[in-house]
Amino acid sequence: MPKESPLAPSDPFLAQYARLAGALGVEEICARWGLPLETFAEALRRSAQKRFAGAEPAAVEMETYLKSLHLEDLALACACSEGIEIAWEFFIAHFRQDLRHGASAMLRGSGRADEARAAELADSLYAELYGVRTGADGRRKSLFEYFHGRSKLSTWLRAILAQKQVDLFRTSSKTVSLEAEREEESPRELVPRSEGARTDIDPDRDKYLGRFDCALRVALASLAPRERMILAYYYVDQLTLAEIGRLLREHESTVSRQIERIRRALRERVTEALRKELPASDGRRAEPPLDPAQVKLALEYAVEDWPFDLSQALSVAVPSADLPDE
Amino acid sequence: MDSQNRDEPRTRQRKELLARRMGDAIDQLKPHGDVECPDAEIVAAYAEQALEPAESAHWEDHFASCARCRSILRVLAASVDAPLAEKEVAELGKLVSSVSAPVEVTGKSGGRARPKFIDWRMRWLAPAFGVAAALAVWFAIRPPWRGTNRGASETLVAQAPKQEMPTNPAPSELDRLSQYAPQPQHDEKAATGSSQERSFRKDALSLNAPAGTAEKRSEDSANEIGGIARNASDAADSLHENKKLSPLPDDRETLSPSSTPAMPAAPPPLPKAQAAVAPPAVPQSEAKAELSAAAPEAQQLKEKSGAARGTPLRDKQAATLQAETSAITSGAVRQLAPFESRSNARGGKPLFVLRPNQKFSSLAKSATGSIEWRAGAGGIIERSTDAGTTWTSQSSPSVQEWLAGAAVSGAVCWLAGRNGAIARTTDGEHWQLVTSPPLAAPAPGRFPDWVGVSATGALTATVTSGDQQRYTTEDGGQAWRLQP
Repeated sequence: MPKESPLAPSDPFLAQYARLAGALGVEEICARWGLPLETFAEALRRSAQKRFAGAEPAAVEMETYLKSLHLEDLALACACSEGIEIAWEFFIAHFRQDLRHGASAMLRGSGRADEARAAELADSLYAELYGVRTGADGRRKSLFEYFHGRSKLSTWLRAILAQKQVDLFRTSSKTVSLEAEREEESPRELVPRSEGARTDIDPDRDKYLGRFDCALRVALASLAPRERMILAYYYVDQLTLAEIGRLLREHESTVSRQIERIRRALRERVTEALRKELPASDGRRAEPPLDPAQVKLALEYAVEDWPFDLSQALSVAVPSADLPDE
Repeated sequence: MDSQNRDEPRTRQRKELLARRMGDAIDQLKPHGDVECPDAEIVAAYAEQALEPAESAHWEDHFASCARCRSILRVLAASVDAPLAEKEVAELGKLVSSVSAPVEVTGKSGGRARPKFIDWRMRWLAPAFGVAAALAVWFAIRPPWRGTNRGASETLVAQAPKQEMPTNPAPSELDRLSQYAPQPQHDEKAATGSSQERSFRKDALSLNAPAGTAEKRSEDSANEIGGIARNASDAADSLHENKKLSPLPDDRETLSPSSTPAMPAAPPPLPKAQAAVAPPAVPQSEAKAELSAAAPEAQQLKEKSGAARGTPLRDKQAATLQAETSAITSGAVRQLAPFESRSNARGGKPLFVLRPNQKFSSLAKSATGSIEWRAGAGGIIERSTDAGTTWTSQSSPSVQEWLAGAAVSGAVCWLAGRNGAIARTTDGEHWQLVTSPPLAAPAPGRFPDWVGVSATGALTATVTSGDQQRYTTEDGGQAWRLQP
């Protein structure tokens, strides 16, 4: 029989927490670190508040959420945030090596593997975890306060390291190459036909490429977010199937099949969009549908030379006028 | 069908290129609306697949357009599989060794210390086990001829290959064979065959026989080898005689029982009868004349093949000879096409036929003049990007002779040729066949020669036949219209 918590249910959330506390063994977890129950309850409420964005979830939903949390890690984080010494000793003993391993792996991937660097990166986190800044109330602001138990503490720590590493890399790469930064600031656009450019080309080429542009926007917008993300991993980040599989926790053969399916679907949707009339929009007049030969030619031109600007194609909602009729 | 097979890798390549172009464009994306990047907890929960489906979809939508977040996820995933560093391995080793270190025996502990001699044994036990396992495996799979104390076994370990010999040929067969060569006596032949069988079986049995004296066994082996050598030399002699080959090396005569039987010499040159058929461009009349000249020799070969019969090995050779002579006498001569290669009857190196000099019937220049195509007999197509200074061969979709060409631009060009051949390129490199106007065919499958072609684009062209009929297409050859 679950043990009743000694907390007085002064508000609905704590009352609910009191019912669950016994089943989840919260008291034992807190007692291990000498963490006050009220502090842990507050951490739980913050976690739920963040998850449900201030909305009032149903009781079942809240229970399900609380049960999904990594309560032991959350209690440890809370105890460290409170500055409890035994919790810090435990944290240093059990997480320091893991952090250094993670940092080493991250640096290895960036070609800067070095034990000293890895230790420096990992140890740089301790100051923030302990809390070098003070809040408005004069309290130390520990990074542990941002851990809400939705993941393992070790994964959360590595995610922080990853963010620091990526942001550092992006900042340093920007400062190194000004030319690259200028290129990034001006997105690629359709190359205007200018003097000295190829003049001996099919006069309808631009028309076909423009139609392909619109058709592809429509096709990409129709993909699921996960599919667009997979495409981005494969074609933008140039990841291998194995790496994508590791990210998605799927076998690389599954990833391969998914990519093939997505590409096939894209091609079908682009072809379908090209065969439909393009309605007028944004000052552009309506254009008739293309016949199969023209569709084939449009695809050929797109493959050969495609100065194409697809900025925001995946993020901007496509106007309904552009969507082909079902 | 061939053109489809040729187009298949190109189609696949184009699909890849198309998809790759899309990826390049995705790289230009801006983040979705005003959604900020998620914090470390969302990233960690997503990596652990701890987010709910709706939440996952929401953030994946962001990740699809946010290179930073994708990088973070990648780095996070990489950090999970961190291998142990050398220092850590050393530390682990110390840990292991400290666990197995001997415990000091004291009066207070009451524990039982491990005697040192046990440690000594334990230290050597693992390698000893390894050696013992290796020996056991070796004894289990060692070759049988290395065994010394094997008992007699009824199972033959090494069995001689079966020899095909008609020990009791049918009477009709005998009559037929007797027309070619006198047959040895049945009993003699049977005796020969059975003696060979017995010798092989004896050899096989000797491998399994109880260990006699090594000298006797080696003597028996030597005798068997000598017998094999004699048979081989006899076979080689007959082969030489029947085929009038170059003499075999003299060392054949000096084979000793202790030496291994010599293999026949290197493949000899073709007999004269076959050499007469080899040249591919010989007109048929001349070939037939040579055939008739070769006929007597073929007959001689036939007779010799008959004489060669009598032993299993000779029977096989005779069969081969008979097949070859029948091929000669049947007049099976075929004039080779220019691009065909043939091998000689012995399956040696193919004799490649040199291609005749190619003449280009058509030269098409682009508007700028820097890019040109030339095409001609045999379907050859070449392109120059430096106004004709250098030429690069291109894959042609047809072997028909090209008679006319029209270059619309540096990328678009049309070719027209014999037997209704029409081709087009839209990228300047890869050519596709275009369907000829069906109405132009006077008979099914027979198309006129297109002696002229003009084009204004990738889709619009007009071809002209030898009788001045003009057909125009405006959809890249899908449909044609006869011009008045």
